[in-house]
Amino acid sequence: MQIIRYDGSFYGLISALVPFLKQRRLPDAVERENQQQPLLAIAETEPQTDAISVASGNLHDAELFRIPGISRETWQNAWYAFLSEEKNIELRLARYLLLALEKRGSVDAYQADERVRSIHRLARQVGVERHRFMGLLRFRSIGSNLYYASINSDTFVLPLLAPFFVRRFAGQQWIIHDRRREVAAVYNLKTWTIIERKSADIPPDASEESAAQHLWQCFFDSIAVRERLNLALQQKCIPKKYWHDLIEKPGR
Amino acid sequence: MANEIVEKVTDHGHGSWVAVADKLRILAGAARYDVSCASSGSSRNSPAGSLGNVVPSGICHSWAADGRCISLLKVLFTNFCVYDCAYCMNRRSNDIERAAFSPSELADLTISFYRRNYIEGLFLSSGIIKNPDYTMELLIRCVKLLRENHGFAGYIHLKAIPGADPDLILQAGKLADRLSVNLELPSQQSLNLLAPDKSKVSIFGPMKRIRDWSLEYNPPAGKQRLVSYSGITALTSAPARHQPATRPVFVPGGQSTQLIIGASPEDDRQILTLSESLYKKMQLKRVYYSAYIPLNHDSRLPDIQPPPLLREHRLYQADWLLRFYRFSVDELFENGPPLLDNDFDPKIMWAMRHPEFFPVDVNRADFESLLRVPGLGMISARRIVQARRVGRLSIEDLAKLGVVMKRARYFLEAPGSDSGTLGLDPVRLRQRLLAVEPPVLKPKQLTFEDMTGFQPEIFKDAVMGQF
Repeated sequence: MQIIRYDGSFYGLISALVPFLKQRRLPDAVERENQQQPLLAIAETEPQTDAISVASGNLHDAELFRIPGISRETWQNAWYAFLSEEKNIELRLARYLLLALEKRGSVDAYQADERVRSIHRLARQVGVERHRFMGLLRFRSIGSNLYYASINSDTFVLPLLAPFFVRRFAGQQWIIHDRRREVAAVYNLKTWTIIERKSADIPPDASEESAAQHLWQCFFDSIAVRERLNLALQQKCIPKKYWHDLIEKPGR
Repeated sequence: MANEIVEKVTDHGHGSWVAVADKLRILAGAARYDVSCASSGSSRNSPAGSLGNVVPSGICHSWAADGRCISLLKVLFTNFCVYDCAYCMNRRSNDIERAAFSPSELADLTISFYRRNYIEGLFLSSGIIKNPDYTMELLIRCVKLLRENHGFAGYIHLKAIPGADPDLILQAGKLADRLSVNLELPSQQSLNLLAPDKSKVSIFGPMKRIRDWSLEYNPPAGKQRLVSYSGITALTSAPARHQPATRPVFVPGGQSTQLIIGASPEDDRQILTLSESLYKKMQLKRVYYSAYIPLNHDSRLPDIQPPPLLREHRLYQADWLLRFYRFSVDELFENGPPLLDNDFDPKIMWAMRHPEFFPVDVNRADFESLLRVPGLGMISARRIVQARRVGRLSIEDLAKLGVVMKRARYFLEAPGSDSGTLGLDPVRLRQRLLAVEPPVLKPKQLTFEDMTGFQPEIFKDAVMGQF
């Protein structure tokens, strides 16, 4: 039995898998230490490690990821699928990457192959949720130039959202709190990092916040065309599971 | 009264947030019949010290109770208007609540929403206050505040006011991501009848100019710009510390227009022919269709009836075929009436009139032919082309690729396909397709009676912009 253990991070997983991939074989099982806090390890030790740069596409500084036959697209799919936190994702990724080596770079064309299809499906699922939160995430002002957002995502999209909001709101300090995983991405105008944060630890609003929220609710109500009322379509576009953290109140 | 307000607009007065909420209610309500809300097609990085960016895909931030995406803060600057267009609820002769923002009020509101990630940017249109030039100047003043004082690099869609001075339109285009001039009615006769203050010339004039400036300021299609020009608008205000040697951009997101469907007698073919020529000759990015909702009682307009939502939906589908699936209007309506089919989407309508084109061979047909198969979209066609490079595809493989076979199976040939279902005569095909087709597609066709608690007062409130 060949069982590999890794620290819960994508980087850790790939480091442990590479020796196997190089010998063209699979481990029998993969165990994750630190079941509770996925990916936290990277954030604590090296805030901007390779797993993060995979997300942003900067593979050139990651020696580990330079494996002939595994393209950037393939790494990207693997990274996104990993964030789905699906059961046994580690072994599925190992099979996918092994196939990639076999097919010498064209693995993503084998879309009728179950090993490829399942990874693509998971990667798409994560990509969709990331895109959703790019729109549905709501910041609340909690201090001078300090904003806080709370999310409860099915997949671990936080490390994908953080770089997006760094680009968008580079000039404001913010916290994005993943309540389900009890972690938060924190940006201090220079770098961002992921830290632990209890799900109940929700800061109070700044004084001007309620006016802004009221204005938004007012806009939200006014913009709907009553003659075309279609609450079913609205709910299809914003599934109920996301309503909790929205400022506006859909379904009315 | 209008003049009084006009004077107030020009100073930089700032109401309390309660006053702003009131204006927002009126002016968002007045803007909601403008259907465009896209934040896509443009790209803008944020230079250091600025706020926001634009992503090419566009982002929806919410969905309103009518199921439409909310991406931009869509408001009128004012709903005062000197015009008296028959279909418009803001027309001069309507007795409704009127309001106007001040440029700084609206700029601050936009920033406050943007920082909280409520919106991608601003979509600003306006009634005509005093005259077109004065109105355009007010819009520009607001957008300038955003770009220059707030360093805002998010998305801005501006209405080019018909009849405004070309210099003002040029200035607006350098600040905005997208400009639009609304055509509203699909022919000169209908314009004459329903919008006597507007003319074809006052609409096509600015449209042409915007097209020509786009060509002048932006590199021709296919050629990559060598130097990035991101955030150029923020640079115009920044002290000239590090001004890169780039030309200013002009509406990187292109221009769009809107047509009202059902207020005038044009048929689908006429409307789509107009759209096709707007795409080709005016190089528009989008034509939006807006099912006519009767807001005014006017003898020149058709009687109250449910808005033709299904017709609007079919027009969008046909529009998609023109822009992405390489169909022409003449092809679509060949051998048939100038109306789109209510029961089927336009691609099926075309397929049923062209049995000679089918079946299409999954393993041999080129990409363009695959795109013509009902049930195959861009993604499916691309997956097929990609996957067949590494092996022959059977019908089962298609399902594994995620191709929806409900409709496509009648038109595709591959190992494992059922020859009994292929090569059908149009009549039987119609029956079979009807069996798989839900009778009415989204968006749901609603009548006023269907709406829970419909009352005439609600209808009146809609006109007054009180929701």
